[in-house]
Amino acid sequence: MSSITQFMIRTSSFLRKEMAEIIRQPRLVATLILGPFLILLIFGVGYRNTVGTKRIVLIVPEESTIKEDIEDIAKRLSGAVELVAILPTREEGIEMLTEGEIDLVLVTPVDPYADISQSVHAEMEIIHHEIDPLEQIYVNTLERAYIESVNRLLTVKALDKAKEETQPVLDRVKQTRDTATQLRRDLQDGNGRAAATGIVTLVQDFEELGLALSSSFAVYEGVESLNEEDELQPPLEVLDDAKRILADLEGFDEDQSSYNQEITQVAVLEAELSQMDRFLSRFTEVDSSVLARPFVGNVVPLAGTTFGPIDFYVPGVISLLLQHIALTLAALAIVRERVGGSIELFRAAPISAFETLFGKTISFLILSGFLATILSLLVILGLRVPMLGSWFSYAVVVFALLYTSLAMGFAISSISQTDSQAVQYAMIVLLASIFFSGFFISLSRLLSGVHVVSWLLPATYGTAMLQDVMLRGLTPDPILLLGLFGYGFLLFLFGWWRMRRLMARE
Amino acid sequence: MAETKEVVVQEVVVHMEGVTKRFGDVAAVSDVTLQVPQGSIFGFIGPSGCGKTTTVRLLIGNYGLTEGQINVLGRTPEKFGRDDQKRIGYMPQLFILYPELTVWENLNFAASIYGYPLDRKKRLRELLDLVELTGHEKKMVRNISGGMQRRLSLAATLIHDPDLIFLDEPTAGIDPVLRRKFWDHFQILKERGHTLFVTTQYVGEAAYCDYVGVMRKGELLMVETPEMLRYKAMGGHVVILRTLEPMPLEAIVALEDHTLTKGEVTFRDPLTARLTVEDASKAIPQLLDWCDNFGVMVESINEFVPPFDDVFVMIMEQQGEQEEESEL
Repeated sequence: MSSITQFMIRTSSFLRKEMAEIIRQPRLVATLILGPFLILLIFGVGYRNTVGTKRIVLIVPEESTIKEDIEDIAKRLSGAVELVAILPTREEGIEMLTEGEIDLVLVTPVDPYADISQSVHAEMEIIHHEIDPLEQIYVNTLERAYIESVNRLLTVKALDKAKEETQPVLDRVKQTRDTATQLRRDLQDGNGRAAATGIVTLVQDFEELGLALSSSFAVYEGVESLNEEDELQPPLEVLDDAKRILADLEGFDEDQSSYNQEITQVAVLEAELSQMDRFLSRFTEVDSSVLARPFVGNVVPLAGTTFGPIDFYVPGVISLLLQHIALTLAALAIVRERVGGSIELFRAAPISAFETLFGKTISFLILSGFLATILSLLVILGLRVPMLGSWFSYAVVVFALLYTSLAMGFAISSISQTDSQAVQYAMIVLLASIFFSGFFISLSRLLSGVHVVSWLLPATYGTAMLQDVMLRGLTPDPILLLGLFGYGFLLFLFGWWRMRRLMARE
Repeated sequence: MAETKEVVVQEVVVHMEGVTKRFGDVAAVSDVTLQVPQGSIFGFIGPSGCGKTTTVRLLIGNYGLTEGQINVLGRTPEKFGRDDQKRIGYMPQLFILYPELTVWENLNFAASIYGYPLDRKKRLRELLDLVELTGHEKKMVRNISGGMQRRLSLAATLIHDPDLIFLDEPTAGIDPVLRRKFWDHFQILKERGHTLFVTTQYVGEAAYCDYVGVMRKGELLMVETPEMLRYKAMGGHVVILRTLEPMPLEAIVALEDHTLTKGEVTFRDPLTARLTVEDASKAIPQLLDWCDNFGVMVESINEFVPPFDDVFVMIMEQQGEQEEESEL
C-alpha cells in the first residue's frame, strides 16, 4: 500500500470519528445551529430601530413673551418626545427629572425676541439625566433637530409676515413707477417745470419705498443671489442704484439746454422698478417653508437599497458566530485527546502530528461548513436579509473564516491544559471579537494601535468581507481574503509545531 | 527448573541495559537491565508508582531515556520509524477510546491510525471474536461494562497484528474471572508467536508469565521464571512435614543440622514442621529415610507451593531489610 494511501487512511480516521462524535450529540448540533439562529431571531424581532419616546416638560416662566407661541413649539416635539406638562419654574422640572418621572426638561427663554433684536441667540436649555453615551448623543441630536425646527418655524412666520407687508410695497413700487413714467414724459415734452416737480415727488416715493422694504425678505434675496444667471436685480441693489440716479436728477435745471440725459436716467429707474415689481411678486408667490429651508438633503445609497439595523448586523453576527463555533470545536479537540490520554496512543502509533491536525482540520471544516450552510440559509432566507453579492463569494469568505478560526482553535487547544482553560480562551476571543472586530463598534472609531488586536481576529476579516458581499454586492477584497488565509496558515503552522511537541518523546 | 540464563539464550526482542529515566531530580527508573525473549510473556510486577509504566513508555519510545541503552526489535526506540511502530502494540493503563463511538467505530479508528487497509471487516470480526465482543459491535462504548471496555482496548491494541505487545496493567480493576480470560487471551497470542510485555499489580498473575521482572522504587530487583522467583524468595523449596506425634527436641536439632535443610525448621503447630530444602523432589525421599532412622512417625510430607502474594511480600521485605542494613 502506498504511503499516500496510508496517509489518506490515517487522516480520514479523524473524519469519521469527529463526525460520528458530533452527530451522536443531537443537542449539541441543535445548539450549534438553532442557538445562534434563535439569538439572531430574537434580536431581529426585539430590536427597535427608534429610540424610546422621551418624556419632557416645558418650562415657560410667568413673564415669558412667547407664551402664545408655546403651543406651536410644543407641537414641534411630537413623535420623539411626549409633552408631559408645561411648568413655570426650572426647579419643578428638575425635581421631576430627578425623580425619574420625566426624561428631559426644556427651559424656554423669557424674551427671545429681545435677545434676537440685540443680536444675541435666544437660548433654549435642554436638561437630561442620561448616563448612556448613546442616549446622550440622542439627546444632543434631538436638541439640534428641535432647535432647527423652532428656528424654521420662526423664519416661516417672519417670511409670511414679510409677504403680508410686501403687498403695500408692491403698490408703492407701481406708484413710484407711474411717477417715473410721468416724469419721463414731461422731460420728453420739454416741460421742465413739471419735470422738476416730478423729480421731487420721485425722490420722496423712493424714500418711502426704501422704508417699506422689510429686511425680512433679505433671506429670499440671499437665496436668489445664489442664482447668478437670474436677470432680476434684488430690490435693495435697485434702491442703491436709484439713490445714485436720483442724486444726479436732484441737480436738474429746468432751463438747461437738453433733457436727454435725464430722460435716459428716468428710463433706467423705470426699468429697475419693473424688475423690483417682478422680484417682489415672485417673493410673494414662493412658499415660505421652502424659503425658510431652501435646501434639503437626499441620501442615495450606491447599492440602490437601504438597509435596516438587522441587515447591517447580520454579516457581523454570522462572522462572529461561525468564528466562535469553529474556534470552540477546535479548541476542545486536541485538549480532549490530551486529557483523555489519546495523545499517548498517537505517540506510539505511526500517525504524525501533521496527519492528526490535518485530519481534524478537514473533519471540522466539513462539520462547521455544514453548520454554516444551515445557519446562513436560516438567517438569510428566514430573516430576509439582502444578499446582493454572489453565493460563491459568500462561500469563499465563509471557508476562509472557518479555516482560520479552526486554526486559531487548534492553536488555543495546543496551549491549553484542560477543557475549561480552552473554553476560557475561546470566550476571551469572543469577547475581544465583540469589541474589536467591527461587529459592534466600527474600526474607524478605534485608535490605529488597537487595530492590531482587530486584525488578529478572524471575525474582523469575515465581517468586512461579508458586508461587502452581502450588502454592497462586491467581491471580497483580495487583500483581506489573502490576509485571512495567510493568517490561518500561520496559525496552522503554530498549532502543528505545538502538536509536534505534544506528540514528541518526553 | 528454568534458569535465569535462559532469558539471554533465546532471541531477544527487548533489551534494556543500565537504563535510567529521571524527571528532574527524581529517578522514576534506575539502572534497569533486562531482556525479553521472543514469543514469551514477560510479566512486570511491582507496587503502584514503582516505575512500571515509565519503563513501558521508554520501551515504546514515548519517553526518552536519561542513561543507558534500549533496543526493541533491533532498534532504539528513539529512532523508531513508522514501520517499527507498526510492529508494536500498546495498550495504555487507562481506557482511552471514545465513549461516543460504537465498539466497531472505535476499533475502526484504531485500525485507521495504524494505516490498516480499508478492507478490514474480516480482521475486525476476528478480533471481536478473540475478545468475545461479537454481537456488541453497535453498542456505544459508554454503554458497555468496564470489562468490555478493557477487552475492546485489547482488541484495538492488536488490530495491526503487532509482533511485540506492551500491555500496561491490562487487568487492573476487573474481576478475577475476566482477568483469567485476559490471561487466556495472552496465552493464545503467545502461541501465535507474539511477544507480550505485561505490567501488573496482581502478583498472582506472575504464574501466567514465562518471565517475571520485579520492580521496587524504580529498581528492578530480579528477573526470573515464576518458579525461580518463588524459589529465590523462599530461599529454596518449602516442605511441610506432618508427624503423628510431636517431634522430640533432639530430632529437631538434628533436622536443622541436616545437610538437606536450609535455615531454621519452623512449626505451624507441634505436629507440623516447615523446612526449606534445596530441591524438594530429591529431599523428600531422603527426609522420609531420616524420619525412619529417628523414629519419627510421618503422617504426610509434601512440597508447599506458596502463593505469589506471599512470595512478593517476602521479596519486598527482604529488599527492605537489605536497604536498612546498607543504610546502617
